[in-house]
Amino acid sequence: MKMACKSILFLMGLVLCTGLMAQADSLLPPGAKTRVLPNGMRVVAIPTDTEDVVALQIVMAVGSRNEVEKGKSGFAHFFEHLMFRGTDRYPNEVAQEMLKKAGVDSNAWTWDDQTVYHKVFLKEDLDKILDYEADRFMNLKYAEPEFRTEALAVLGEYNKNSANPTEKMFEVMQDKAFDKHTYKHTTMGFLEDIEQYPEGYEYSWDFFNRFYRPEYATMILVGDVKPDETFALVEKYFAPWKSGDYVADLPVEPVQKSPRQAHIEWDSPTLPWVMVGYKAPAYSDLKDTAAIQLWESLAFSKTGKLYQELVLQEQIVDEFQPFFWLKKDPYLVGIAVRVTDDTKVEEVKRRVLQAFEEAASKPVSPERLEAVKSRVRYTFLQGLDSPASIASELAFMLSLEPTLDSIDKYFQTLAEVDAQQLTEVASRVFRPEGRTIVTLAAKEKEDK
Amino acid sequence: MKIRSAILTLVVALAAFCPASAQELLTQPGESPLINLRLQFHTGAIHDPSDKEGLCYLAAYSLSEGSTERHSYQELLEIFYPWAVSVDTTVGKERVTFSTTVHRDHLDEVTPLLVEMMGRPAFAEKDLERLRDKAKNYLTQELRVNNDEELGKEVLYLQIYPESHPYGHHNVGSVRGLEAVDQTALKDFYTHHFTPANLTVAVAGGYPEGYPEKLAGLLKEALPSQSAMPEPVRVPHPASPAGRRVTIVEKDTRSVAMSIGFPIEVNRSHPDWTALFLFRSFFGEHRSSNSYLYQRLREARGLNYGDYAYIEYFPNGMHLMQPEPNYPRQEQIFQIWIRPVQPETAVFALRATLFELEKIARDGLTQEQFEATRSFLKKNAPLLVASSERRLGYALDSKFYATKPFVEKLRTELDRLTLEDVNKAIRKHIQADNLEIVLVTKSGVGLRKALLEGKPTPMTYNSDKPQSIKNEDKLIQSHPLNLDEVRVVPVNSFFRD
Repeated sequence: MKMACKSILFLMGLVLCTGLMAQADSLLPPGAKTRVLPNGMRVVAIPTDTEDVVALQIVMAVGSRNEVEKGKSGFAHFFEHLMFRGTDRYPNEVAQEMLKKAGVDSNAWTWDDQTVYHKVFLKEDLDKILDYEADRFMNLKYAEPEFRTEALAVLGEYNKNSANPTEKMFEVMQDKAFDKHTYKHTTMGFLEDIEQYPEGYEYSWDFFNRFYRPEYATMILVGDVKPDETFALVEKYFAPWKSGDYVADLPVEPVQKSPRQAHIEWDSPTLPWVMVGYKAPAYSDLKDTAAIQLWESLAFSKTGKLYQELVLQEQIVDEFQPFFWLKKDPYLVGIAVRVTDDTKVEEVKRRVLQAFEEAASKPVSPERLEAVKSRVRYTFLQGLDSPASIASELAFMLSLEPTLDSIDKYFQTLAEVDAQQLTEVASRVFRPEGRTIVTLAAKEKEDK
Repeated sequence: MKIRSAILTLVVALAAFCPASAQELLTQPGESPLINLRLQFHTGAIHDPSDKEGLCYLAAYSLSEGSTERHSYQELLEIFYPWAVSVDTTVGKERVTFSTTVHRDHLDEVTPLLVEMMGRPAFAEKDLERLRDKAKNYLTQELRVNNDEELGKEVLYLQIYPESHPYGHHNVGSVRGLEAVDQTALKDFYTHHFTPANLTVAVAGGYPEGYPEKLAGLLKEALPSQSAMPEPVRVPHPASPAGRRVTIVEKDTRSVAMSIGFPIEVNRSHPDWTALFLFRSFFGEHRSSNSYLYQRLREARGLNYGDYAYIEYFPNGMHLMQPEPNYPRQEQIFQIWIRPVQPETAVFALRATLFELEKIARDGLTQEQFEATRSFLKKNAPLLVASSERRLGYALDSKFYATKPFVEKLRTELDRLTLEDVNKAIRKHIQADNLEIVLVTKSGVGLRKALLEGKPTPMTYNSDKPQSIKNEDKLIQSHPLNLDEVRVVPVNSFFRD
């Protein structure tokens, strides 16, 4: 439990990041309201006609991006685990019993820029759940033995992910592509740091006191809720939460000046993989981000030339996983592909690089551009199927900028992107100097 | 090579249960502008010929991800792209389900295309090659290489169901079987199985009046005109494993993934299902930190990331918080999933699991545990169907099992359930003597030796533990494993033939 695995995040990233789009009118569900509490915590409430069901998400604007100290990679995710350890009023077993009797679906996930705690339950238990949530966000308590045991569960989580080649490829890609910025490590963190977690009890309280403050928090409630009544209830429990003043001193990543590459030898038999990534704009660079998102959604869709040729016609690629996620700081845009024939790796790599190069030289037709804008719009609308899915869609965007307006603003920016802008941004982003290539293949064995 | 148990014999006595026959229409009208469609065919991997395992899978995907007589697959992708429409495919043992969600803005345009995909598939050679490669790579890459946990679970099923059993191969097939499928076989399978008589059309959302009937009519006209309804297949109950049998799957990996199970005669239509469903939730609710095994193995000891129990097939559990509907089965197994543990604690973890299973099989639940779990399930049940898409999927499963709607069934039966019912069902269906145990690890020979020697495996922790845990560990570290057979099998042997 407690951390969305990479593949889910991968999927979520695609849905959420490509999913938010507005035309002239807001695509947000009607009736959405926001309240900012005096301590800085933001609360968003959205009523839907789903009888009895409430989805609650608490978005903390802290993730592996904030892990600036050496040896602490992955700590935000580890801390997410610790948030389930209990308090004086709700010791772990009491909390577990309460959540069990209420039939609550409860979990959390951590990524580079955010940690999100989510629950779905019945309306009649809202008061009790808010009481519990406020208590653990303010008065978390755990002893060192439990802390050390939980560290082992995180190692277990690393272990369960470790059989997957793409997990390793992201680990190497980020390490290679970044020199100074904390995006150098994945959310899971480096294995050598995870193995040291049991020694970090004192540090864990520094982490809590720095980041688990109302100014880092946005609460989203969707479902059978009345916004004004809900705000009053949230305020009743969360008003005593004291704000802080810590801001992580994030290192600035120097401009990458030359192409980079790395190769992974995989112990198990595997088909070879090629992953190509370019440094991408930060979310705050709204216009560039919107342009890259549309380009990625077009060029690497199943209707794009690359997929059509490599997967459908020539069938030399069978896994095709583009990636571009909205991030607070410049991250990566790229693609990972699995090659079905060992002898075709160089050929596939060349063709993938060609797709990026063509982005700068071959303008997108107006029809294609309209098609991708329509697609992201309907992808977003299809995500509004349940309180939990609406809350999830919003949680990701609000973790980047915690106002509902920001969503419409981003939609609007997407709607205004034109073909010329796409080409211009692509020519700046897809330069060989900003590129990192990671390949993975099975280790040669003597006894084949 | 598939591992076949020499002593596992097929019990030919037929189960009393037989799945419901096809009914044309299932509707759930609503206000949403999104329309959910599920087209369910009463066929599945049990109909694969023994030399073409994977035929049903390839036939199904030829419809949803292949060309039609009028459009190439590329053209279909191009048309659907701006509407964000795609057709998902679920191939189970006994049902194949195609599902999609369409905004009402595009329903008129999508409908004829969907009918064309179902009714006029081209079975093009190029599509077959692509889909075959994808299926083979799922077995040889995704399962054998990338995902030790799913590998362990699927190997467990292969141990429980012998090759001759209708469930005796993976839903995707086998490498050899997939290679044997040609266009003729695809067309033949399609003609016999994807027929109007075999179809249930399910529609939910704010569709126009008369739409479900119209869609069903169009499909009836377009599908192969095999009118006779095939005889429902009665799936035999497999024999219990004879003793405790361990299969060690050997591959390069950091840790040890475990799956343990045995067949049960209970499916959702069985009178004991709700009692066992409650027991399973108490013992190992999926991805929940509230359950018993999780508390004992992960919370108290930090052995791994999670520990769960199941009474129904639940593929892809590592990526899902809730089970996907539409994998109904006449036959189910009880299964324990121990997420990967460090190799040095593997034998202890197995001992601890068997220790807990023996205990619960012997003692059952207490009144308090029963009440808390019942309360959880009554409130949690509506959350399983909180989206229109899931509601529709669950409704189809209720049709298969011929039961009341899921939430209604569960809540009504939970209200009537007593602790004695649950403990009686545990005594009747749950045991720890006859088990298939699957362990995925790097050093098979070393683990086999440790298991057979049965030496004590004391635990050391990175922090002090309560006395109660220390005391219990002393029992667990020497707890008899009582294994009847331990085999080491290289990973490449699975899903091959």
